[in-house]
Amino acid sequence: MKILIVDDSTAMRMIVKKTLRLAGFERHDITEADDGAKALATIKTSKPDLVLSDWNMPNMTGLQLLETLTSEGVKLTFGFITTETTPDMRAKAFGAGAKFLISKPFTPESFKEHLGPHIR
Amino acid sequence: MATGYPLPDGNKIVQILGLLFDGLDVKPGGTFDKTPAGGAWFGVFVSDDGEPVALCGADVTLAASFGAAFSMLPPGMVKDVVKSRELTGVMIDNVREIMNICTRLVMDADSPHLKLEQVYPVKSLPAAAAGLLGAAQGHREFQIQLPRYGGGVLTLLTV
Repeated sequence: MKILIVDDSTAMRMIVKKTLRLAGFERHDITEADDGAKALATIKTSKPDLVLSDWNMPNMTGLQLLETLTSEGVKLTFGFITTETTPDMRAKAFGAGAKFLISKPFTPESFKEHLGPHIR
Repeated sequence: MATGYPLPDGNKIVQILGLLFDGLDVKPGGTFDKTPAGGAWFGVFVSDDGEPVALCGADVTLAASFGAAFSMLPPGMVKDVVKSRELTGVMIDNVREIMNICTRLVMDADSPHLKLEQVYPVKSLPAAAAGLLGAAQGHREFQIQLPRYGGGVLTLLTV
Protein backbone atom coordinates (compact mmCIF):
# COMPACT_ATOMS: atom_id res chain seq x y z
CA MET A 1 0.00 0.00 0.00
CA LYS A 2 1.28 3.51 -0.84
CA ILE A 3 1.05 6.12 1.93
CA LEU A 4 1.77 9.84 1.41
CA ILE A 5 2.63 12.03 4.43
CA VAL A 6 1.99 15.75 3.87
CA ASP A 7 3.34 18.24 6.40
CA ASP A 8 5.48 21.38 6.08
CA SER A 9 7.50 20.33 9.14
CA THR A 10 10.36 17.95 8.37
CA ALA A 11 10.43 16.91 12.03
CA MET A 12 6.71 16.13 12.05
CA ARG A 13 7.01 14.03 8.88
CA MET A 14 9.81 12.08 10.57
CA ILE A 15 7.63 11.55 13.63
CA VAL A 16 4.60 10.45 11.61
CA LYS A 17 6.79 8.01 9.67
CA LYS A 18 8.30 6.59 12.85
CA THR A 19 4.91 6.35 14.54
CA LEU A 20 3.59 4.41 11.54
CA ARG A 21 6.43 1.95 12.09
CA LEU A 22 5.73 1.72 15.83
CA ALA A 23 2.05 1.12 15.08
CA GLY A 24 3.00 -1.87 12.94
CA PHE A 25 2.56 -0.27 9.52
CA GLU A 26 6.23 -0.48 8.59
CA ARG A 27 5.91 -2.65 5.48
CA HIS A 28 4.20 0.01 3.37
CA ASP A 29 5.63 2.32 0.72
CA ILE A 30 5.84 5.74 2.39
CA THR A 31 6.51 9.01 0.54
CA GLU A 32 6.43 12.64 1.69
CA ALA A 33 5.44 16.11 0.52
CA ASP A 34 6.01 19.39 2.35
CA ASP A 35 2.90 21.29 1.25
CA GLY A 36 -0.48 20.73 -0.34
CA ALA A 37 0.56 21.82 -3.83
CA LYS A 38 3.49 19.40 -3.93
CA ALA A 39 1.26 16.69 -2.51
CA LEU A 40 -1.25 17.25 -5.33
CA ALA A 41 1.49 16.80 -7.91
CA THR A 42 2.81 13.69 -6.13
CA ILE A 43 -0.67 12.18 -5.91
CA LYS A 44 -1.17 12.55 -9.65
CA THR A 45 2.09 10.78 -10.48
CA SER A 46 2.48 8.16 -7.75
CA LYS A 47 -1.20 7.51 -6.95
CA PRO A 48 -1.03 6.76 -3.20
CA ASP A 49 -3.79 4.75 -1.53
CA LEU A 50 -3.75 6.78 1.69
CA VAL A 51 -2.88 10.44 2.42
CA LEU A 52 -2.05 11.64 5.95
CA SER A 53 -2.13 15.42 5.82
CA ASP A 54 -1.51 18.34 8.14
CA TRP A 55 -4.20 21.05 8.17
CA ASN A 56 -2.22 24.31 8.01
CA MET A 57 0.44 24.46 5.32
CA PRO A 58 1.81 27.08 2.92
CA ASN A 59 0.75 27.18 -0.77
CA MET A 60 -2.21 24.84 -0.33
CA THR A 61 -3.77 23.81 2.97
CA GLY A 62 -4.74 20.26 3.74
CA LEU A 63 -8.41 21.10 3.35
CA GLN A 64 -7.82 22.77 -0.02
CA LEU A 65 -5.87 19.69 -1.10
CA LEU A 66 -8.74 17.39 -0.14
CA GLU A 67 -11.33 19.62 -1.83
CA THR A 68 -9.23 19.70 -5.01
CA LEU A 69 -8.87 15.91 -5.02
CA THR A 70 -12.61 15.48 -4.51
CA SER A 71 -13.50 17.95 -7.26
CA GLU A 72 -11.14 16.16 -9.65
CA GLY A 73 -12.62 12.79 -8.80
CA VAL A 74 -9.41 11.32 -7.37
CA LYS A 75 -10.18 8.19 -5.37
CA LEU A 76 -8.07 7.60 -2.27
CA THR A 77 -8.37 7.52 1.51
CA PHE A 78 -7.62 10.91 3.06
CA GLY A 79 -7.17 11.76 6.75
CA PHE A 80 -5.86 14.69 8.74
CA ILE A 81 -3.20 14.76 11.46
CA THR A 82 -3.43 18.14 13.09
CA THR A 83 -2.94 20.06 16.33
CA GLU A 84 -6.17 22.01 16.31
CA THR A 85 -9.35 19.97 16.16
CA THR A 86 -12.28 22.31 16.71
CA PRO A 87 -15.84 21.11 15.99
CA ASP A 88 -15.88 23.47 12.98
CA MET A 89 -12.70 21.94 11.58
CA ARG A 90 -14.01 18.44 12.11
CA ALA A 91 -17.23 19.34 10.28
CA LYS A 92 -15.28 20.83 7.36
CA ALA A 93 -12.90 17.86 7.23
CA PHE A 94 -15.59 15.19 7.21
CA GLY A 95 -17.82 17.28 4.95
CA ALA A 96 -15.00 17.39 2.40
CA GLY A 97 -14.58 13.62 2.53
CA ALA A 98 -11.91 12.98 5.17
CA LYS A 99 -12.13 9.50 6.69
CA PHE A 100 -10.49 10.38 10.01
CA LEU A 101 -8.88 13.19 11.94
CA ILE A 102 -6.04 12.39 14.33
CA SER A 103 -5.12 15.07 16.83
CA LYS A 104 -1.57 15.83 17.92
CA PRO A 105 -0.02 14.68 20.14
CA PHE A 106 -0.74 11.22 18.80
CA THR A 107 0.51 7.78 19.80
CA PRO A 108 1.09 4.48 17.98
CA GLU A 109 -2.16 3.35 19.62
CA SER A 110 -4.16 6.23 18.16
CA PHE A 111 -2.61 5.49 14.77
CA LYS A 112 -3.69 1.84 15.06
CA GLU A 113 -7.21 2.88 16.03
CA HIS A 114 -7.70 5.41 13.22
CA LEU A 115 -5.60 3.88 10.45
CA GLY A 116 -6.19 0.19 11.09
CA PRO A 117 -9.50 0.10 9.20
CA HIS A 118 -7.90 1.79 6.18
CA ILE A 119 -4.53 0.05 5.87
CA ARG A 120 -4.44 -3.36 4.27
CA MET B 1 -3.94 34.92 30.78
CA ALA B 2 -3.90 31.29 29.72
CA THR B 3 -2.83 28.89 32.44
CA GLY B 4 -2.39 25.18 32.90
CA TYR B 5 0.57 24.23 30.73
CA PRO B 6 2.07 21.00 32.11
CA LEU B 7 5.82 20.52 32.54
CA PRO B 8 7.09 17.18 31.24
CA ASP B 9 9.11 14.50 32.97
CA GLY B 10 12.08 12.78 31.38
CA ASN B 11 9.96 9.94 30.03
CA LYS B 12 7.80 12.32 28.03
CA ILE B 13 10.89 13.94 26.54
CA VAL B 14 12.25 10.54 25.50
CA GLN B 15 8.83 9.59 24.15
CA ILE B 16 8.57 12.70 21.96
CA LEU B 17 12.13 13.72 21.04
CA GLY B 18 13.16 10.05 20.88
CA LEU B 19 11.04 9.89 17.73
CA LEU B 20 13.55 12.30 16.16
CA PHE B 21 16.76 11.02 17.71
CA ASP B 22 17.50 7.33 18.25
CA GLY B 23 19.31 6.59 21.50
CA LEU B 24 18.38 9.90 23.15
CA ASP B 25 19.44 9.97 26.81
CA VAL B 26 17.58 12.25 29.23
CA LYS B 27 18.35 12.92 32.89
CA PRO B 28 16.48 15.39 35.08
CA GLY B 29 18.32 18.44 36.39
CA GLY B 30 21.21 20.52 35.15
CA THR B 31 22.23 24.15 35.27
CA PHE B 32 21.02 26.26 32.36
CA ASP B 33 23.09 29.24 31.29
CA LYS B 34 20.59 31.90 30.22
CA THR B 35 23.05 34.79 30.23
CA PRO B 36 23.28 36.75 26.95
CA ALA B 37 26.87 35.59 26.47
CA GLY B 38 25.92 31.96 27.01
CA GLY B 39 24.62 31.50 23.48
CA ALA B 40 21.45 29.56 24.34
CA TRP B 41 18.54 29.39 21.91
CA PHE B 42 14.89 29.64 22.90
CA GLY B 43 11.64 28.62 21.28
CA VAL B 44 8.93 31.10 22.23
CA PHE B 45 5.55 29.41 22.59
CA VAL B 46 2.48 31.61 22.36
CA SER B 47 -1.18 31.13 23.15
CA ASP B 48 -3.84 31.57 20.48
CA ASP B 49 -3.99 35.30 21.30
CA GLY B 50 -0.25 35.64 20.65
CA GLU B 51 0.85 36.00 24.26
CA PRO B 52 4.10 34.20 25.26
CA VAL B 53 3.08 31.45 27.65
CA ALA B 54 6.10 29.15 27.65
CA LEU B 55 9.73 28.99 26.61
CA CYS B 56 11.86 26.03 25.65
CA GLY B 57 15.57 26.69 25.82
CA ALA B 58 18.55 24.70 24.59
CA ASP B 59 21.94 25.79 25.86
CA VAL B 60 24.51 26.40 23.15
CA THR B 61 25.94 22.87 23.24
CA LEU B 62 22.51 21.28 23.03
CA ALA B 63 21.33 23.70 20.33
CA ALA B 64 24.43 22.89 18.28
CA SER B 65 23.97 19.16 18.88
CA PHE B 66 20.28 19.31 17.91
CA GLY B 67 21.08 21.44 14.88
CA ALA B 68 23.81 19.12 13.64
CA ALA B 69 22.20 15.78 14.47
CA PHE B 70 18.86 16.57 12.83
CA SER B 71 20.54 16.89 9.40
CA MET B 72 23.31 14.42 10.26
CA LEU B 73 25.96 17.11 9.80
CA PRO B 74 29.52 16.15 10.79
CA PRO B 75 29.62 15.86 14.60
CA GLY B 76 32.81 17.92 14.63
CA MET B 77 30.76 20.99 13.68
CA VAL B 78 29.28 21.04 17.17
CA LYS B 79 32.60 21.99 18.78
CA ASP B 80 33.19 24.80 16.27
CA VAL B 81 29.74 26.23 16.90
CA VAL B 82 30.07 26.03 20.67
CA LYS B 83 33.37 27.89 20.41
CA SER B 84 32.00 30.65 18.18
CA ARG B 85 28.55 30.77 19.85
CA GLU B 86 27.10 31.14 16.31
CA LEU B 87 24.81 28.45 14.87
CA THR B 88 24.82 27.99 11.10
CA GLY B 89 21.66 28.74 9.10
CA VAL B 90 20.90 25.04 8.69
CA MET B 91 21.32 24.48 12.41
CA ILE B 92 18.93 27.35 13.20
CA ASP B 93 16.34 25.89 10.78
CA ASN B 94 16.75 22.54 12.52
CA VAL B 95 16.43 24.05 15.99
CA ARG B 96 13.19 25.67 14.78
CA GLU B 97 11.90 22.29 13.60
CA ILE B 98 12.77 20.69 16.94
CA MET B 99 11.29 23.53 18.99
CA ASN B 100 8.08 23.15 16.99
CA ILE B 101 7.95 19.55 18.18
CA CYS B 102 8.84 20.66 21.73
CA THR B 103 5.48 22.47 21.93
CA ARG B 104 4.12 18.99 22.63
CA LEU B 105 6.21 18.81 25.79
CA VAL B 106 4.07 21.49 27.46
CA MET B 107 0.68 20.41 26.13
CA ASP B 108 -1.67 17.62 27.06
CA ALA B 109 -5.29 16.77 26.32
CA ASP B 110 -6.53 19.27 28.93
CA SER B 111 -4.15 22.18 28.44
CA PRO B 112 -4.81 25.26 26.35
CA HIS B 113 -3.40 25.29 22.81
CA LEU B 114 -0.06 26.92 22.15
CA LYS B 115 2.23 27.15 19.15
CA LEU B 116 5.80 28.05 18.31
CA GLU B 117 6.08 31.74 17.47
CA GLN B 118 9.80 31.69 16.59
CA VAL B 119 13.22 30.71 17.83
CA TYR B 120 15.69 33.32 19.10
CA PRO B 121 19.18 33.43 20.54
CA VAL B 122 18.83 34.41 24.19
CA LYS B 123 20.42 37.83 23.55
CA SER B 124 17.68 38.66 20.98
CA LEU B 125 14.59 37.45 22.83
CA PRO B 126 11.67 39.86 22.41
CA ALA B 127 10.89 41.80 25.60
CA ALA B 128 7.70 39.90 26.43
CA ALA B 129 9.46 36.56 26.13
CA ALA B 130 12.56 37.78 27.96
CA GLY B 131 10.29 38.84 30.81
CA LEU B 132 9.14 35.25 31.13
CA LEU B 133 12.74 34.15 31.69
CA GLY B 134 12.76 35.65 35.14
CA ALA B 135 9.09 35.41 35.96
CA ALA B 136 8.13 31.89 34.98
CA GLN B 137 5.81 30.16 37.42
CA GLY B 138 7.23 26.76 36.59
CA HIS B 139 10.49 25.50 35.14
CA ARG B 140 12.24 22.19 34.70
CA GLU B 141 15.70 21.32 33.40
CA PHE B 142 17.01 18.17 31.73
CA GLN B 143 20.42 16.97 30.64
CA ILE B 144 20.10 15.57 27.14
CA GLN B 145 22.66 13.55 25.21
CA LEU B 146 22.50 12.52 21.56
CA PRO B 147 24.66 9.61 20.38
CA ARG B 148 27.76 10.84 18.46
CA TYR B 149 26.84 14.54 18.85
CA GLY B 150 26.93 15.19 22.60
CA GLY B 151 24.34 17.39 24.19
CA GLY B 152 23.58 19.87 26.91
CA VAL B 153 20.79 21.25 29.03
CA LEU B 154 17.18 21.81 28.01
CA THR B 155 14.97 24.11 30.05
CA LEU B 156 11.20 24.51 29.91
CA LEU B 157 9.51 27.52 31.48
CA THR B 158 5.79 28.18 31.73
CA VAL B 159 3.60 31.01 32.96
